[in-house]
Amino acid sequence: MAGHTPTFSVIIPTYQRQELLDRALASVQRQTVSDIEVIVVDDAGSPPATVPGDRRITLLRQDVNRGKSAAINRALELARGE
Amino acid sequence: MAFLDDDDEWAPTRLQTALVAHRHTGCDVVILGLDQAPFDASEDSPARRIPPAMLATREMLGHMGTTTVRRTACMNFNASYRASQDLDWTLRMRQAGTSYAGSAAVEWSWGRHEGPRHKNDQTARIAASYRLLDEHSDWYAAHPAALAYRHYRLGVMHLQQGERRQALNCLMKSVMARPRVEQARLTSRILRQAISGR
Repeated sequence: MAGHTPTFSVIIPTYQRQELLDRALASVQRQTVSDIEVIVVDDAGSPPATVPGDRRITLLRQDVNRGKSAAINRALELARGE
Repeated sequence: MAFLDDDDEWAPTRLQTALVAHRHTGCDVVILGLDQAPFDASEDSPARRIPPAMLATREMLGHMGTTTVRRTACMNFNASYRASQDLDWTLRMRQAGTSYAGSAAVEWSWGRHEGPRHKNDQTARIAASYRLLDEHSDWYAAHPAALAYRHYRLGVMHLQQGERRQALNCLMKSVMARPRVEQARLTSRILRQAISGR
């Protein structure tokens, strides 16, 4: 997938809400547009967030809790969506 | 770019609807779920460019979960905001001249729960509102309806905190910025309570 530009980058900051995150991610995986990348940024929650095994999903983890904006910015650095 | 809070969910066609809207309008930003004319939910058109009049009266057009942005137009968020960062981002995007389109399609659900939040409690929201009014003072000065709404929101938040004096001050500013029945009614009620000592 190197060099591929997905139609959308979906950015999800998360903090200690695994059950809700699972539901949010499931709703993204059900999208009719499948050419997407999903970047989840765990804002140093405990326990750490986990994501389903899906090559479109990337999980990043902040070393300390920096807030939602910093989490989104970290994802924006990596995002390749159109 | 699309944004989703970890406690929200999308309908399966949410991104498809946004994609069609981006291509149909050529706009950098698309917001779904707009409920005002000319975005009548009964119309068939997938999206329309948001008219300047609507951009002038509303500071925030939709939740970030309903917003998609072309990567080339997407600004970073200001990480020093611990609340209302989406509003700061929106105002900066708007002042940069970004083109906006909207659709009435509602394909997002807002999670309601009592779990931990991203440090955006009421005190942080109040502080962020004052900071927005300060840092975007020129924009608010040119948009009295939005200025009135921001002061009104501040008044309501102060009231919820039991800070009646600050609430009254903000509500008075809201009424002065743009007299509206709802704001004037609430201001009057607080004023009566203050006079009667309740």
